Amino acid sequence: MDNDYPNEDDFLQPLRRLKRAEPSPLVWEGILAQTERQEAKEVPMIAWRRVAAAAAIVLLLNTAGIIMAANNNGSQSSAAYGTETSLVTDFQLYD
Amino acid sequence: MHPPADQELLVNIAAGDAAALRHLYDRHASRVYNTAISYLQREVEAEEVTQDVFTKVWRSAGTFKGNSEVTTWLYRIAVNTSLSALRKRKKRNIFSAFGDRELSPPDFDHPGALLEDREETKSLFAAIYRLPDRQKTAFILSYVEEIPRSQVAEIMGNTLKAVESLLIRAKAGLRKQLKANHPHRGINR
Repeated sequence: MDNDYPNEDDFLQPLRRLKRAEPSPLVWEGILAQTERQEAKEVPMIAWRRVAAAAAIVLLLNTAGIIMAANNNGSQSSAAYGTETSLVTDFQLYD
Repeated sequence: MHPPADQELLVNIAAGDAAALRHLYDRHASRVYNTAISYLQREVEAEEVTQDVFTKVWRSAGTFKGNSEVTTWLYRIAVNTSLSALRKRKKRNIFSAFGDRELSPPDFDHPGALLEDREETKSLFAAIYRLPDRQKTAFILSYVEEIPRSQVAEIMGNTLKAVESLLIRAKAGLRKQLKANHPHRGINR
């Protein structure tokens, strides 16, 4: 048996008399600042999603435009080639 | 009109109601702060932990499933956040103390200690600081926060028997340290 502590939990007496400590008012202000910061972060994310969606639409339209233009140019260039060769044959310099 | 229950406050916090967070804070900040200060034994760091805990509550109120008391959930967050802060401090100290791995407890005067208990409280908290984490947690929740053992078991995710075993070992460890540091001090005042 331990003679220094006749009641074995006596050494805990100071804890039983301990008063509750209180945090400073600045703690709440810090929490509030964090909650507002978190709300501010969420807005740019929404904006970025909209920008990405708009970019995707523009890209699709451009791609469609390029494909259409490529199909049209195909038929035009054979006509142009025909004109150019007739021009060349019209200019026969040597018989 | 009675004040809203904790669970109701959490539902409102999850919906972005900062006033509900303030209400919960006013009700429970003292629990969180006193838990944190028992681990960290520095007021500034305990305040940072308190701030972190309530910020986590703001972010994750929607994840509270309601299968325990709100205070159980809060204490769990407070314990985990305090232990993380302690580990970070110990890592910083290891690198700055030129390889000295023996980390002394802070010289801590608990702001709630009675004048006549100052020295004993200081020794007691120094001894608490040296306990292994699980014994420390069981001891702080049971003897500093004075939470019922069944709730301590729930907070720690342990059985009641495991908590009681941790407490027996914690008290034995504390007694041994106090005797070693103050061999002539009698306990009866």
